[in-house]
Amino acid sequence: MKSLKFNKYIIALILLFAAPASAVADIALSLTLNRHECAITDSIKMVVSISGARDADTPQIRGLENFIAQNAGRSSQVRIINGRVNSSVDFTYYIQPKRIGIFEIGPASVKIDGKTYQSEAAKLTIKTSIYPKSGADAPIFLTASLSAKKVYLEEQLQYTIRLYHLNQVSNVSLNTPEAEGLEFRQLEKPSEYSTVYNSKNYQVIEIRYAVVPLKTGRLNINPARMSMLVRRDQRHLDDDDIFSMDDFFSNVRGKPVTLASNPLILNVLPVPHAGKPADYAGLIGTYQITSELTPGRVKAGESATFTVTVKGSGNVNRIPDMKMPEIKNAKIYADEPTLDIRQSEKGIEGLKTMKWAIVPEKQGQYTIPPLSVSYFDTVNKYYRTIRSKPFLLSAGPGIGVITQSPFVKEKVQPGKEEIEELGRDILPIHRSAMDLTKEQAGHIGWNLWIIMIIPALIYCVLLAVHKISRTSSVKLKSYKAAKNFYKICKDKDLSANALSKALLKYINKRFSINLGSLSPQEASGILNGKGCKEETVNQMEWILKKIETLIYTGKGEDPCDLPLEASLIIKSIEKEIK
Amino acid sequence: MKKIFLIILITFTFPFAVFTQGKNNRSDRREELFHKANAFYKEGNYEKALNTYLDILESGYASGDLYYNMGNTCFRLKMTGHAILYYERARLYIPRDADLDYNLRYVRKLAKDDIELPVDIISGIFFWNMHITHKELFLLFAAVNLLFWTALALRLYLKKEWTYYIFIILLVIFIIIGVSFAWKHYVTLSDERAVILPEKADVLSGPDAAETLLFQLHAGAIVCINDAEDAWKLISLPDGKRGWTKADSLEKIRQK
Repeated sequence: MKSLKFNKYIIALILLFAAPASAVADIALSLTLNRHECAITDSIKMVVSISGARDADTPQIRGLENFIAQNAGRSSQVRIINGRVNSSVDFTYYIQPKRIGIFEIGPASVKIDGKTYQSEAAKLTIKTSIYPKSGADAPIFLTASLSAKKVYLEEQLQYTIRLYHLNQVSNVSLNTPEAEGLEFRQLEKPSEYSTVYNSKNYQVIEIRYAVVPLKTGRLNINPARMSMLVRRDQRHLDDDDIFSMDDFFSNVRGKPVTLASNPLILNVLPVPHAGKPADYAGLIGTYQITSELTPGRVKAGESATFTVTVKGSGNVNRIPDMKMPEIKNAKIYADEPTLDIRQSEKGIEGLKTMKWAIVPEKQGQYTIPPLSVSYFDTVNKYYRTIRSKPFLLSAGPGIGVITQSPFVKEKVQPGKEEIEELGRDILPIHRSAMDLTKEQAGHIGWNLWIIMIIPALIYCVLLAVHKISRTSSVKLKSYKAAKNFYKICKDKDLSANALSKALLKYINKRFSINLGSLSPQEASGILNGKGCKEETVNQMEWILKKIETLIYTGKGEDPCDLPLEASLIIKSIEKEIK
Repeated sequence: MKKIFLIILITFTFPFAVFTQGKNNRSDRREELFHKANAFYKEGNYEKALNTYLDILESGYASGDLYYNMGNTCFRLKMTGHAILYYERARLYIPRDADLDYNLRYVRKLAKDDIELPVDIISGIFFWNMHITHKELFLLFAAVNLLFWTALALRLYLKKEWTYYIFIILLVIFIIIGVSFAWKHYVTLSDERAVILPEKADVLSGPDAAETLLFQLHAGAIVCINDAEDAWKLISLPDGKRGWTKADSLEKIRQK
């Protein structure tokens, strides 16, 4: 547990030091509004977010001349997303419009480490009132609105649902609006704000959808239905309700209510025939095209990458896969196009990237022709054709070998095909007669089984030899110890001290121990443990006690009469312990 | 003295030389037959080729290549059942042969009943058993056995740490290969698989021609023999079907 805490501190420290380093890596500035259409009496939340930085000066924001701006503070965050440390600083403002109209707020700009970073601008429409004409004094009501009443087929528009409530609401659920021939896709999370309507301060929940009409004609959008629990206003409780105390004792925290919005009608027109380009493939909205060639100069046989990007909002799924015309003396390998779709305040936006590897076969200049895509511009109501820039690719003297494009490595190369099976037959006979054997498959001869046993047998023999050799070495040791003892005991003038030493030496050698002295109790313990008879053990104890007595009475150096008896005891021990 | 030595030498070496010569002659004869059969096959004389291969088999000798060639010959003679039987027998000798694998898969596809007995869990664990012959696995086990006992013997005289680890590693290998071989040995000895040889074989509810016809099998179908009674065999299929068929309509893959 302690180490876990310690690890947390280490991680926090790493984050603290690592964050500024990573922060410098990719700084981005964004300006977001919580609403894009509001009444002149409303206040709008504006957040300028600087991602990739832990600290920054207050950003400069253009286009606020027509608003009263109030600073609501700053906050900084450090987050780990997919193992990467992301830090950001948010500056929050509340702005209140001074007049009606369509305004562009931003871009916001900030200087970090001497470099100026800029956000995109945001559009805000201020109206006298955006609120419904009906439902006026109701404490809670639901409205639905469309960003346009007349659109072209597949043109994207926005459908907004707003819930106005004076009392608190909870457990809000909305049935996705349904209409034949319309495709709905929710944009971002629902936003919440407050507004003044009919001199009352309403709380508003706003949910926005991108809508794409899939058929022409007059399309009906049925009312959206929203269910919720509405808290009762304590001031309006009846006397009877005082004792109900449903907030405290009951799970039901309010009154269930289902609201319906107003129905809507949308007129969908087909795209005009007049001025339709030949290559028009149904793309509608607003789009831009960009292109690049990297590198602009290569050696013959090397590849350059030509990238075309089409970006915009509308029916982005319809952005066509462009075709690169053939270039003389150059090989072209197309990569799989990628389409990145995301939701923004403008609706559904998309970015399609198409890449080609161009490999010049010879030295020279190669012109990359412009590629075009046509779409119906919903802002200006006419067809437009956008084109990529033409490029000039210079090829120097090269390696003479046509290299593969980096993105075609794993794919089937042009000109290569899967092997086609033209016929089937068995493979030919074998010619080797070498392996002919009398043995049946799965048969193991007895000789092989014997070979299998041999190592185990050899081991058993070795084990036996090992054991025998160990036993004989022990026997030899004991024989030598006894022999030495007998030799010492032959001395007729042997003192008690010398006899005591001889006995100690014998016991140590005989039993491979290392005693410094030998008491009668120790000796009897050892002999008992080795399996000596009780009589022999007693004799040994008796002789040792006698030796001790002689030594302690000052007769230790005098010749004693015990060697013979000691020899007999040792003989008994040798007999009894094999 | 030299003469005596020469006489002794001839006396002792002559029988051995004669024996070896005789053995070589017989071996040459088998090889000759094998090549002769191959030549018949090449000429397109498949019946003669098969008979010549069978002559080698009757002499008590066999090999993976011989069974493989017999499988090819039977295939050419449109004897699908026999082709599969011989290929399966060849697999017992040369399980890793790519040609055999290809031909067997091809002929099995041509068979009407594409029945293959499922691999049981233990055989799945010892997956290498399918790619190694019984004898090869035995020799591998023998080698591991030798190393294991050598390591054990080494431990008697050299009680070092590294000898301990070698012993442990060899013990694990010894157990794995030992169990693997034991399983292979059991599977081989209890192999009751058989191949249906005629174009069509009736499977009845009992060992009597008057019994109810349960289903029919076709040449090349691999079944499992569970029992035998007179000239009838009780067979079973992987899907649980069981019944009696005439003993001469099938032949066991592994011969006793």
